[in-house]
Amino acid sequence: MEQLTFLVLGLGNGAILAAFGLSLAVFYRSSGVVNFATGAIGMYGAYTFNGLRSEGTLFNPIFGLPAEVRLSGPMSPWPALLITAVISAVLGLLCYVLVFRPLRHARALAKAVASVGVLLVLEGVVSLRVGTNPVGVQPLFLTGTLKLGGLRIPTDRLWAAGLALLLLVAVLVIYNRTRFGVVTRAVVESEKGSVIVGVSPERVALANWALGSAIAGLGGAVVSPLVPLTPSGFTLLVVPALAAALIGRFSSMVPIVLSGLALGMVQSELSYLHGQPWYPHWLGDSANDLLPLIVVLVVLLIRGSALPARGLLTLESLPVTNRARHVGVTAAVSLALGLVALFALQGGYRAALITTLVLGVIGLSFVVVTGYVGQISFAQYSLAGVSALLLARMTTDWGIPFPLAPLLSALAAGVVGVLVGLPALRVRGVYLAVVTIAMAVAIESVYFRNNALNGGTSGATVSGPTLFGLDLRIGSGDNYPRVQFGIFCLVVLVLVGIAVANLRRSRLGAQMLAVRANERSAAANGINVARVKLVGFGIGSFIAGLGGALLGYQQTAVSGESFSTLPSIMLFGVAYISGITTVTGAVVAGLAGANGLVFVLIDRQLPFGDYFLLITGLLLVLATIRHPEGIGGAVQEPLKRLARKALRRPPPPERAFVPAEAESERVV
Amino acid sequence: MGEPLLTVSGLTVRYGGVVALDTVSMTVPKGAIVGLIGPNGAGKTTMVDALTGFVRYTGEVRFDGGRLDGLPAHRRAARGLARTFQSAGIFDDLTVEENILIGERSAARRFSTLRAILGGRTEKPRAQTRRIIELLDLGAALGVPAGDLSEGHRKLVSVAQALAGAPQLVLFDEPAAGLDSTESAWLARQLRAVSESGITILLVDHDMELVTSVCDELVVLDFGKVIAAGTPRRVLDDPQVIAAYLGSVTAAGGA
Repeated sequence: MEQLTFLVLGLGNGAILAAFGLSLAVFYRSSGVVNFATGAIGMYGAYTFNGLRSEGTLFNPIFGLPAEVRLSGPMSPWPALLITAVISAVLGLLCYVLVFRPLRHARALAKAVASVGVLLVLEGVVSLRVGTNPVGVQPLFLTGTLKLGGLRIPTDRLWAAGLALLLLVAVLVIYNRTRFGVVTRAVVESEKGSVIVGVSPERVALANWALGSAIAGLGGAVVSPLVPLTPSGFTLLVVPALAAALIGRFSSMVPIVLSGLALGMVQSELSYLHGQPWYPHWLGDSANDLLPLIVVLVVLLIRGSALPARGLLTLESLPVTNRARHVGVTAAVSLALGLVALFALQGGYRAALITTLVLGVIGLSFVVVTGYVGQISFAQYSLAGVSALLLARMTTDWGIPFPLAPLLSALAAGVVGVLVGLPALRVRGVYLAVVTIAMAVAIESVYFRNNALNGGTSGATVSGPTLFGLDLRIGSGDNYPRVQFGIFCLVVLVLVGIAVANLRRSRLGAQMLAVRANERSAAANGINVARVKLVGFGIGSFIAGLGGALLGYQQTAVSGESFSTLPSIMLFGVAYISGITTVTGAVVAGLAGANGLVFVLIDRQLPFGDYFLLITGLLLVLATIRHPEGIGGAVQEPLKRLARKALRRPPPPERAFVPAEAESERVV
Repeated sequence: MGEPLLTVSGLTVRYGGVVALDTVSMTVPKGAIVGLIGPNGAGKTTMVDALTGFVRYTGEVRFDGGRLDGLPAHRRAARGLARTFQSAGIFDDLTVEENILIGERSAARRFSTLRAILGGRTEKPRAQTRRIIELLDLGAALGVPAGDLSEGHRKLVSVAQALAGAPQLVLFDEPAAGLDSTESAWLARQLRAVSESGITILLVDHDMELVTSVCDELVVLDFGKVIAAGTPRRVLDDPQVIAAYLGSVTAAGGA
């Protein structure tokens, strides 16, 4: 009986997943965007609703003005819901007009990245304006219990589930019974179709964005009294919602809503099982976060080929990745510059430089995965964390010596990446992004926050590294950070940088770029697309693991929680902004990343740490629309032009040749 | 002409309720240049997509003594069945040389990637590929990103890419689209030179002058069915073919 109660309690969570899944489908169907910001939009709706309900104030996102505008006394539920729906719809309109309309012809990759930018912006705004402490929201309906046999059912859950179903019915009616719905479906079939019908596809998309956001906002509002309301908690509910949406292939509304409800209930049931004596406690107490990952993987395995892959007729959105020339010279100069900087800087700045070097290594993993192969991974920092925690285990418990331990821990990260990435990489589309965000959440719960595995509150101790009596440790106290450790990190960064640049020059590198550009013609050239993607993700995960090992040595006591999902998504954002296609971009990412050298330099003059989320989000949106080459590329081009001028070299020819007319009768 | 290299029997492709190809049967003899023609919407590109593994079909495709049915695209390419794309399927980010190297499938020497990563060595085209580059006069453009080339030159690169894999059969999907008449005549000479080197060609194109001047045999598709096959002269005199082409303006204009 108790079990059944937990299942019913899960209806609250299930309702929000159903609503988010529904709006994911609305966004995807109308404009081909896998909207990772869906949870954030719902979170915004929940905060709006809470303000209206408890104080009668409207949340105001505009900086410089008061965070709350008083409208009335505490509001009753229905007007508050109505206002929330309107505000959320306006938010959706703004998202479309400012971000996704400019990207309407872009690749699915750019759209997904931009939605992550929106996610970060919304979370940044709400965190800054309201704070991140959990908020208790006034109940929406009279709370009571319904006794059914021996079962006690809280009525608020039933209401929530009922409202989710009501939303579903409303959407189905809109899509199947109105002209707007018919036109929307025409647009899904082909943009040309809607032009023939005489409706601008952009206006259809605009209306759908309003609809989708209103659904997400309402979902957030309705469920906010039942689930602790925090900015990142609600934002990341997009992950199980993605699992539900995937079950319905981002298009069939009924299966999406039902599986959303079911997921919520099963997750709740799992948290009941945590209390059972036979429960494997090494899994930690939030193993229910594994469920979305498992669902996503299973759906991809079973129905991979039937999943939609939109966006065939698209513009290039990633910049050209040229073959690096003069790799040796660049490496030598970088090494020399790094050495000078390491010796010149002291204390906190030297520590920041070391962080830069380490983040640079992880940045290089993004260069391979996204820059070369064109896949999105939100889990590179999580994989680094896996490697760091494993390194602690290897060096302290298992006594594995230095050069072997970090290599093995990195290899383990590579294997985890390959195993989890395998189902996603067989399919064309942004499914690796979906899998990796689910993986980041799952690893965070089951590993990073699991005291049975993460070394407890004081962290997991890493010992070393020492090599042939040479002490490479970062040191402690006045000795912190030792320059020897900095040199060690620098050498690793330079070596991995050379390897990544050389990879681009290899046949495999060319195949990766071919896959990134056009999977069909890559396959027509005999390239095994799935294999190339998998190898790329494996290499990227291994590199992330190397970076994680360095982080482990740097932290000496690894704190698993520092590798949680949001920092992992953030690092992807920073890498993308910095220039995700070049080695230079990876180094820029290290400089600009959290606690990197530039970050610390600016922060000491003008503390902006709290704004980092918001700034990263804004820049990410801007980068997808305006500067896909990133800061790295934007800085590189003028520099190259200067160098060319200085050397008086002509620029490379644009159109190099004309087919010679006559002399062509030779035989192969 | 030799024995059949490619034999298609009863090939059918359905898109939802629409039958794009209806029990098509045809053969391509070894060493021949066979032209596949037909009005817009006749199913020519669908045919190429089906043969190369991009579209699901029912029916049987035999190639070089083995069945291809059920093989994914890259495995068919590895068997020696190359293709070009209507809107050039080459890779703008890659240089002309890299584009051609991509076509050189199966070349991967043992640990070549590892050696490239550790040693920074880049691979050079093989001797046979260099001959293709010479034939198509692409030598001067090797270092140029393909995205910087004109449409006609991109077509050439895609031809070189298809040839670089030393295929037995190349399916050219409208190689003359976007070329002017001089370039088209020049392309015809290249195709014959390619054919003389022992490569079998299936040529899909609208350019009747190109098709009739180059091909040994023609196959005509209309509404997904083969309506005629044989030598160019015989086929072009066929009243059904004339009707299909003249009638196509009204009958198949929107397809």
